[in-house]
Amino acid sequence: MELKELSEAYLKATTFQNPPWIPGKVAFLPATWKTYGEELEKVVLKYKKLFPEYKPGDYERLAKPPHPRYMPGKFTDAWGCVWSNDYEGLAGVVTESPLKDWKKLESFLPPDPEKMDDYGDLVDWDQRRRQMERIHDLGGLAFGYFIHGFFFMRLFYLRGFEELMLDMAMGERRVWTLIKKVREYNLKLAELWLKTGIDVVWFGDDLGTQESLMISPKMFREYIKPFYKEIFGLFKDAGVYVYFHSDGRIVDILEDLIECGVSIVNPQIGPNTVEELERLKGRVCMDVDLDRQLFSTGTPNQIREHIHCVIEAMKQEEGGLMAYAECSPEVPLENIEAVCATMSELCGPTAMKDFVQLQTATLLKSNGGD
Amino acid sequence: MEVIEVGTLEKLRDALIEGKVEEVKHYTQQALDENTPAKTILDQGLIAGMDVVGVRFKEGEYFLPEVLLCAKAMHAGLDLLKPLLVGESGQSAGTVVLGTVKGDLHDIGKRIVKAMLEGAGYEVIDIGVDVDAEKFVESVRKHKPLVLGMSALLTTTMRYMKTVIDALQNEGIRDKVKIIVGGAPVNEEFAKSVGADGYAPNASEAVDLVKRLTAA
Repeated sequence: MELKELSEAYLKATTFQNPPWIPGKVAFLPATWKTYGEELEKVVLKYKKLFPEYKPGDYERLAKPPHPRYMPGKFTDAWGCVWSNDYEGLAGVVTESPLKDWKKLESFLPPDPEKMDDYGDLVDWDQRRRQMERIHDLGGLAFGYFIHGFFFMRLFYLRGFEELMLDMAMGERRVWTLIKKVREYNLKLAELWLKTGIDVVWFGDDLGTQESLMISPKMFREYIKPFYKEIFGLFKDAGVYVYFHSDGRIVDILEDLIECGVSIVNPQIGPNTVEELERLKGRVCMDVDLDRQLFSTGTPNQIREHIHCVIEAMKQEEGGLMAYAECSPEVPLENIEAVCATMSELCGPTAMKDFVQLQTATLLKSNGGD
Repeated sequence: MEVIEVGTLEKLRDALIEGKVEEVKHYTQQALDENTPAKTILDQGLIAGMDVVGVRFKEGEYFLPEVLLCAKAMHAGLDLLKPLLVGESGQSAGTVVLGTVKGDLHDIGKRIVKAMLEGAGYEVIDIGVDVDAEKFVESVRKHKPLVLGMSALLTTTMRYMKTVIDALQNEGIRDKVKIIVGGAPVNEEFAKSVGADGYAPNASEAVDLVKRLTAA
């Protein structure tokens, strides 16, 4: 399929202009490729429509950890946060925070986004710009990205989770200094991405738990929303579509996210129910994150039924719907096959890349030459 | 107009519900100065306050910052009571051991459960994250808890809960402890399938569950 066709379908879905199909993506973590290897390739090749870029043998490359965060052990990012991991092929978690002691705050300096990204990987912005130009020449959509955890999560990566929660609950003034530093880094990064000519920008920040937001909507509006509005607004004003992902329940602030300028939101089914999301149908394009917990524990029939129900409830002739299905390594192969078969039946391919792909695409190329 | 005098324990409870750390310290000390037994202060002041916090969390009125602040306030009061509770009978509602299973390093949810259980008067021993079956078994032998709680955030790791329960079974100590499980991907059906005694979807309901299991 032509890149141009994929891009047009994606944009039409985003802007409610009667897309020819529902853009759908089935994503596999590196650990999933490592677990199943060639067997997974057979499934992917069977449903090639969903994986237009996949080439036989790619599984060997895809099974390798794309970044040190996916390797067992410890890794320190460019902000000084220490990540720990003991499962190859899954991303680790931050276990040591550099600003547990407020005394270090004043002298604390964020990384320089012109030179490196959040994880300390070197970035060549001219090269990125040329990459985007090439994608445009081929009729494709150019995606930029901010890391998964660009703002709210970065605040607690830096300060520590409980510490940040207590700071917010107690109205600790130094939180605002911390916010200022993270804000400035991200605004500089936004400026750099905007110069590359991207069409869509990917943001990820986990705001919810399985049952609720981590912080109240009131606190979200006080501490987080003003910055979201500022940075999403920069892209929106420049005609760049804003994609926003969050794990957990976010339906209670979806209206806020729309107000902040989000064009495509990626809510998880489970913490957010289909009935709740259905009420916001037509207000924003939804890339529904199908119930990955069910993929792990359900039967192939339950999975097929789930995907049918969600898409049936959310679809509209004019668009505004995409579907995302992520399979982790413990999902049985027959369930993966059920996911692929159903997605293939109900959706077409997407121009969208997931965060791992975005990062890998732009970084490996920038480090390895044009 | 009739003036109703609010007692110290009620003021303590209200201060805790509002997460006012210094006030909790103040009213705990005041209650002690009024010769109120430490156990009464604990039960009718701190635990009564945390009960309300639990309800507000369950009902979506409180979120994680508020719960953690109230837990901090409770600890401020508890620190004053602890030396005095040592000699009194029934100082703890019982011991609970909590751990995140092997392969999983997430512990935010577990820490919230710990805070809420402590608020309900339980002694909680947190054995950390990435805990293997041997360590769970060893902790049950060592601490003899009424309840063992296992947590997992990842679908990839939650199946290890069954490994732990099997290990307890093989060691002949499964029936010495009630087992509860929790974490985002876990549900009632899964809990039954691995042979746990209970599942709670959030920290507040975990407290209710532990109360039910330990009352039985």
